[in-house]
Amino acid sequence: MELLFNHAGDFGQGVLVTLGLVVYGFLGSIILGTILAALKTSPIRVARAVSSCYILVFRNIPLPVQMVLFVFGLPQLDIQFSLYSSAAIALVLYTAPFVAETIRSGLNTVDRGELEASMALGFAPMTSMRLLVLPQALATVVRPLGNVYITMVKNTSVAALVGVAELTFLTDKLAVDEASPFLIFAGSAICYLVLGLAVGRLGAALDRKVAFSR
Amino acid sequence: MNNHSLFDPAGPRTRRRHLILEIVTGAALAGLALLVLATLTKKGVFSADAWAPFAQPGLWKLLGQGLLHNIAAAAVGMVLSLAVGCLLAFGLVSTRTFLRRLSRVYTDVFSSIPLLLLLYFTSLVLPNYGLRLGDFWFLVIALTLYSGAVIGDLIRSGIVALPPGQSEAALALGFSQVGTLVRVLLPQALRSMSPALVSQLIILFKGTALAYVLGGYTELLRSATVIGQYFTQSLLQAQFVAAVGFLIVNVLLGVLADSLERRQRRLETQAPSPAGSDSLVLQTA
Amino acid sequence: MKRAHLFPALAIMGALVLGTTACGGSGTAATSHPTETFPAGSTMAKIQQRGKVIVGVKFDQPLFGVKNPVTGKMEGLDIEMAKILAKDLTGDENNVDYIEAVTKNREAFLEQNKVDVVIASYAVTDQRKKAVSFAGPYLESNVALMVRKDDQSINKPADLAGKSVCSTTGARASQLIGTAAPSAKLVLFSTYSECAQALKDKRVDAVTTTEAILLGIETQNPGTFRIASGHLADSEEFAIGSAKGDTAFHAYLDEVLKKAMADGEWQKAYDVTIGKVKPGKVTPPKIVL
Repeated sequence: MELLFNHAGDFGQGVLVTLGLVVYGFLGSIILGTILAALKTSPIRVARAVSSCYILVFRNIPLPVQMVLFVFGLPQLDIQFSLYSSAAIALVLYTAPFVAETIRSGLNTVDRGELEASMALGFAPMTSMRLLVLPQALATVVRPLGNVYITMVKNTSVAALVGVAELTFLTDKLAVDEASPFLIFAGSAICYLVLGLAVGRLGAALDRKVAFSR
Repeated sequence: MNNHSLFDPAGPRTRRRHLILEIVTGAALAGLALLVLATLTKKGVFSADAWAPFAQPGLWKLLGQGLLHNIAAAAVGMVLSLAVGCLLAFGLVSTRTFLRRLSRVYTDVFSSIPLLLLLYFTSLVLPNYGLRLGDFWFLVIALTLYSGAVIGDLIRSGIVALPPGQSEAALALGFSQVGTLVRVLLPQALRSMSPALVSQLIILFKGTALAYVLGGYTELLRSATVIGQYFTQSLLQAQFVAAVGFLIVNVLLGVLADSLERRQRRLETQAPSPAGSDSLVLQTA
Repeated sequence: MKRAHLFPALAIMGALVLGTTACGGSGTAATSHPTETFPAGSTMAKIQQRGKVIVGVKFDQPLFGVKNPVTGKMEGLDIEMAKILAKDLTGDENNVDYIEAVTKNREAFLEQNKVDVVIASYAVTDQRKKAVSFAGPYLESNVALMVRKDDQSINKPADLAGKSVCSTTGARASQLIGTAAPSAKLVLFSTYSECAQALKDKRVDAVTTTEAILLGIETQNPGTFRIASGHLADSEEFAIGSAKGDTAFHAYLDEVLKKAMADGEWQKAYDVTIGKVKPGKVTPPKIVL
């Protein structure tokens, strides 16, 4: 136990970096994911094709491969971010397809008849989308989105592979140095557990909230 | 599956507008692609020097073996995860409170710990307790710890979703509790969850790439890393080839998951509600 | 041919074995083919009986120990040392089983007797000496710095102040930076080729590790990098690791190395590996461990 207290500072640092990745990852992927979902349901063929291609590619290549390619490949296009930003962006690019698919399945749950009814009542397509379809779709996707983000919390660990000193990176470093790695791992696991639980709780609370508004 | 079910078919004027939009975006995308390719060429990403190592068949053999190793680890991991998952699912639907709580704690804990951390854990801690295994097993154990938890929860929800008549009928026919679970409920749960299980296999397969941090198991990403070490000028090219390899296998698995899901849905719509005929259809399928 | 060199070596060997173990009595100096015999029960005898030396080597460290991705053959100075050992013990340099050892598991491999020796660009440190017995060294090098060719601002460790330096996780070089240039920012990747790419992209300002490895990268990327004249550490010794406490085996390993250095085998091994990036006649290191 003393061991854990001695390294409380290291753990705190790691958790902060991980938490930062979670926040940026969430913000970025919810935006990109929504755009992808919108493109995928758009009547414009090129938009649909772009979205489908993106989802196919980024969802099916393992995150470590994407991270390394992103960190070392992007500078070849004369674009360079810090390691931390690169990791965060790679995380966004990887998570967005999952968000997009979740949102799209939410859109599909809305009955077409409702849209027709609102149009018949004289609402413009975009207005009925905004007032009728999206609120309903969002209400059904909160829970599955929560799962996507619990997975993303875990995926932040992959940033360790490109030298970002987040929780897993520090855990490995400490575990190699210290005589009793078991405790180090236990401490780190608890941190992830708490982070995962927090995200889960947040999702559940949000889910209750949108459920009321229906 | 029809993508724009929410919209009415477009009229002629909208169609024309869409066409213009399509041409404009298409042209913009093509221009962007050209720009990217030009910059990459200028930086020597396509230079003969960087791709020269790939002219040797031995290199492709190494990469191919790597991919096979990923598949092997994912397959073994999946089989073990299914076994662990079934046991966990039994625990999760058990009538004994202690067993149920224990299984719940396990699934909650192991489904929220990153696979990479589990991998570091198995490779660093297990040897201290006398488990002298190769990196293949460290990978498979890590995969099983994590994936078993997820699959356990999947199977549980499959069992819970079955109509209660199923277990009632089995019990009435004289099946024991365990017999009901193993011979009646589990097969149906596995079948109804098969698309989700294939999705989990994809996650598992992607997870095998993390083994490259251990070094001792030459899977595809590891092979690509070694190639990058040996031919330092080809680091990115090797990673790119690895990415394509993973992509192909995962897309194929994704197609499998989709077709399973479609078949599942067809079965559900075909089968009339009475439970008896339902299982009949499932058996013949 | 080389038989002549064997006798003095064996004489010393015999004396050492007698001095350290009780079972040296048989004293069977050299019999005939393929090689000398050793007291029953000794590690050397065990290896001879098995007919193969089991060696822990790296599979991914060019110039030291690497599995050629094209041919699948093992290459590097570590591998040449393993071959010399196999030839001496079994009469054929191909009688080696190579087992992949990574930085993290080298000590464990020896403790668990998974391998006879570890020859895996194993740098001698005081901490490692506590767990492992080192024979040799078979190579003396230095920890160097590689920078971009056009960057004249870094020539010695002190120039690293405020700059970012790349190394790999678990490498000794990463610890040296802490003392040589405390204000330098350390970036850790999993391989040196990633470090080189990061240096090329100006993500880091220097890469540090054993000079030979850096020279290898420099040769493969002509006109991109240069090695700074100042070193991070001057004496880095690479040695053969064996199980702690087996003094007879340790003495034998030292003898094999001495012999190889005397009869030119060592130079040959050097020439086909590290000599390719750092050519020239090299004085082999003194066997001190």
